Amino acid sequence: MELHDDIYTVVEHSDNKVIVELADELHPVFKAHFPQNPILPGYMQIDIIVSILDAELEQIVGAKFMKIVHPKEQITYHISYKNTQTRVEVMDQDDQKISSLKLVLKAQN
Amino acid sequence: MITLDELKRDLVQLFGLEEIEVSSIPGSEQLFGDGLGLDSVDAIELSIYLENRHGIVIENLSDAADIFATFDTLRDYINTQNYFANKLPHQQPVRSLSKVVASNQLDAAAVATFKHKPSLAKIVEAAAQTSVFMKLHEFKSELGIPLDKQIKGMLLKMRASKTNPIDAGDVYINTEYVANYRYFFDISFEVRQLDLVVAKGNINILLEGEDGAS
Repeated sequence: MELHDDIYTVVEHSDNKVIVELADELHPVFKAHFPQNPILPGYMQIDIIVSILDAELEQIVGAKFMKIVHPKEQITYHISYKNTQTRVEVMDQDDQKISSLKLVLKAQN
Repeated sequence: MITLDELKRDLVQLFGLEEIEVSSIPGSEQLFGDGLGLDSVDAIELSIYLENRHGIVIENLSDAADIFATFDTLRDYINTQNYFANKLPHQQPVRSLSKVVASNQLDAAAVATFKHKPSLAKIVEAAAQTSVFMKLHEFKSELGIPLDKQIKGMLLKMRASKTNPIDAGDVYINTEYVANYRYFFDISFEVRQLDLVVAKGNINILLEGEDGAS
């Protein structure tokens, strides 16, 4: 998980809610994805929350991406649990939905 | 694209071999040993030339002997890598693909190389990058997407399962067209590592047509 260790800072962290602020456009990930058009790769929205929850991703039951995320944005992860699934709604600062994730996680070894 | 003559001129200049007439060197001339006579120190210089002049880094040094064999192999390698980079807008470190092994109408296969153990989500991203190499000419023509332009798309949905533990190193990714509704494409993928299927799933991509239509 080397890529995104410093791409975010945790602003708030409670049981069901995590707010992170993303790095600016000079971060290597934003320079790479894409040159002239920096956006957060969708898969990294997943990797960031999995890393914060200190877990390992076993299955992506479904992930839907609805909105592009830019450098410096603050994004909020709302987390709930249903059976074996971790369900995450990712929202932007205007409370617009960025993505909806249904994941199966296991504790990190 | 670099031509054989351009490459010959570059190397003659790089290694101070101006006494050699460029047109007299055949493309099959060996760069090392009996041919041009380069040695291991020159190999380092050649790697620096590749990076500075062409933006190409040889990730796997064990491939270098094949790449540096002759003028022809080096020219082919440079042109293949440049083609690859032009098709895929993702740059390092987000770009995981190291080699495209098949690029057909309805399927594509590539090797992705991970320095660290990749997450399942990162594997799915590599599959999405592989799918860029599916030609899909029939669909693109129908949708009015020019065939010769870099394809643009947005990953809208993914689902994937890990079927075996995944380690750092190379994985082999196969992507296959499943269905589409206009610009919205459903693509399946399977990822192998050392002959074991380590992950599989589906991605849904919205292709962007000319003028951003989708």
